[in-house]
Amino acid sequence: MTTDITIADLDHTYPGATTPTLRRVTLEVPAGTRTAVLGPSGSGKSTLLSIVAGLSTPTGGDVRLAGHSVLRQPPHRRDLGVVFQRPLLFPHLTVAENVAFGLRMRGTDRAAIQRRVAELLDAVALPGYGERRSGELSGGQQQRVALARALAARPGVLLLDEPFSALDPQLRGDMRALLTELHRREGSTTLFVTHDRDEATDVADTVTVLLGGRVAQHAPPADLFRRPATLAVARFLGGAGNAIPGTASAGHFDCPLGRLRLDTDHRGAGLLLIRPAAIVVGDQQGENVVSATITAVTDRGTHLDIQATSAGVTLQLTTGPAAPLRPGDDTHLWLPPAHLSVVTP
Amino acid sequence: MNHRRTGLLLILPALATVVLLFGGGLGYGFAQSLGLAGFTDTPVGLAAYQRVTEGPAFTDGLLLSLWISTVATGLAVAIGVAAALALRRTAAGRRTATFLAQLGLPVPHLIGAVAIGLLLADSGLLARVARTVGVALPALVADPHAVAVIAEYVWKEAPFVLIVVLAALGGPVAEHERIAATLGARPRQVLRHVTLPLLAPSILAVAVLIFAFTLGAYEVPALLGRAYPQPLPVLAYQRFTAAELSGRAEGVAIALLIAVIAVAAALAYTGASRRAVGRVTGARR
Repeated sequence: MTTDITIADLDHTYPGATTPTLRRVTLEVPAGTRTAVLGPSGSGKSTLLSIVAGLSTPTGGDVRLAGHSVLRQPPHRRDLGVVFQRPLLFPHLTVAENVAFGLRMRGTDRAAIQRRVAELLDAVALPGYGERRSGELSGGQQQRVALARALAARPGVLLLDEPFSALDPQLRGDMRALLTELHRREGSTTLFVTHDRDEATDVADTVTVLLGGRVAQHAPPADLFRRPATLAVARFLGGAGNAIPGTASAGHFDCPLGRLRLDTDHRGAGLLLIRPAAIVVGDQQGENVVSATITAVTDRGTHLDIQATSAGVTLQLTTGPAAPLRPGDDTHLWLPPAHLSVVTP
Repeated sequence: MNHRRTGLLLILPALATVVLLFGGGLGYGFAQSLGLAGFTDTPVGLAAYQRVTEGPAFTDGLLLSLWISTVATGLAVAIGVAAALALRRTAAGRRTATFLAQLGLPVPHLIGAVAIGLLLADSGLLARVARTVGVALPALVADPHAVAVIAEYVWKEAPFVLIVVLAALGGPVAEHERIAATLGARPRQVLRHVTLPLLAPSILAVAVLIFAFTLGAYEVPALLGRAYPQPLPVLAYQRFTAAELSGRAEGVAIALLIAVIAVAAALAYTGASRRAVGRVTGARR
């Protein structure tokens, strides 16, 4: 059974704090989907998760699970599974007893518990580990057990708070794949909090960027990079390398590079953003093609970091490692309209 | 090899002190109880042990000692743990707990016993207050159930349990409790399946300490207990200071028997408690 999550106008200020941690946060997570809340540390994302889990009470707003407000319900009535950055397995129980915990608390019969535990230990690739103690497992194995434990009672909602941040990078990739696989099998509506943009875009179908306690953007991962809503979002996602001032009008942006065609709702003075990897080097003529001079080339092994100037504007771009470009070359750069966005300066 | 010898040399002064003071005293006492040393008319052998364990005084005293220690330990642990769980939620609660504990812990048992005596005796404060409202209290001091003795131990040791359990609660217990709640455990289930099992090692350790201490302590039952039966420490002291020459050997014999019983009881108690914890939580240890 899955549940949709509605977060409505959520405000939170910690006692004694002068600035609020969350400001009118509104977020809709449809049943069975995966949403990542992405933000730097201190953005309020963990607070948001602990409010949904029932571990903190907000100062304003509402949280609804399957349409019903749950703010007055303690965590154990909310039908959740939560995984934190640390596995926090119960040290006095075996791996199997840890996974079985939620089912035992619900009074599920023994045979059903055994079946479910075996099934989940298989799903997290730890078959035969049931009799071990948590101390005998590696960090990655412990976190897999924590995932299995959170999912055992088939909760409607799965909440994850930086679940892979303490693991090494190789393992993190495996865990993301495992989480996607588990979600496909189990289908719990997943709300996932992270500061790692790759993790967010890998795991989630929708990403909410939380900056300074506010929702700065809510979009599918690709849109987030292509069309950041604000300069702050672009900066946080590392996409503010090229910010060219100019004026936007319907279908156009006028700037020192000339009149560029694009699709934007922005009107008047703005900053044109384009990610370095979106700029295409070539010698074709046409719309959105500007002539430029290469001023610097840095070979990074996997790609080239290139600096070029056009009409007094410096552009950063990246190309494949074999591109035959040298400083001083004159070339043409295509700025694809689908990758251009305009934000308020 | 050389390293190990250096280490041995370094701890030798401390080791010698312990062996001489503790082992030496114990050994000399053991020799006395066997009639091998000291000014005594006890024949060499186990005669002193035979004499002290013969009569009903020893058996009755042993049962009384075990009763006092078991009940006092159980009550002190129950009260201390309950207070710690109740007071830990707020900073004010924790300050109150620390204050209460600091108030009681430095007071010697002897003073505590006198205070309890003044409160609970037949002519004590409580009895007088009760009489003014027309209630006649049963004897609480020098009574068959050693109520005053147990009350003194509980009053003194419950804050000790409180301090130990509060310290244990400072660990990751709260995080595990939160996880348990998100997994659907009701508060009562969290207490039974998470909080108490995680606290069990600390509770067990403090319980064994209190049990062993109360089994061997002399002054409280000497002040608040009856003339008969007397718990073993009181019996040992009386034999030791008796007028007869054989008294010394007998007193030491009882004291050594207390030590053996305390160790055995502590081991049995530890085993039993672990099994009990296992039954309560379903955890295998």
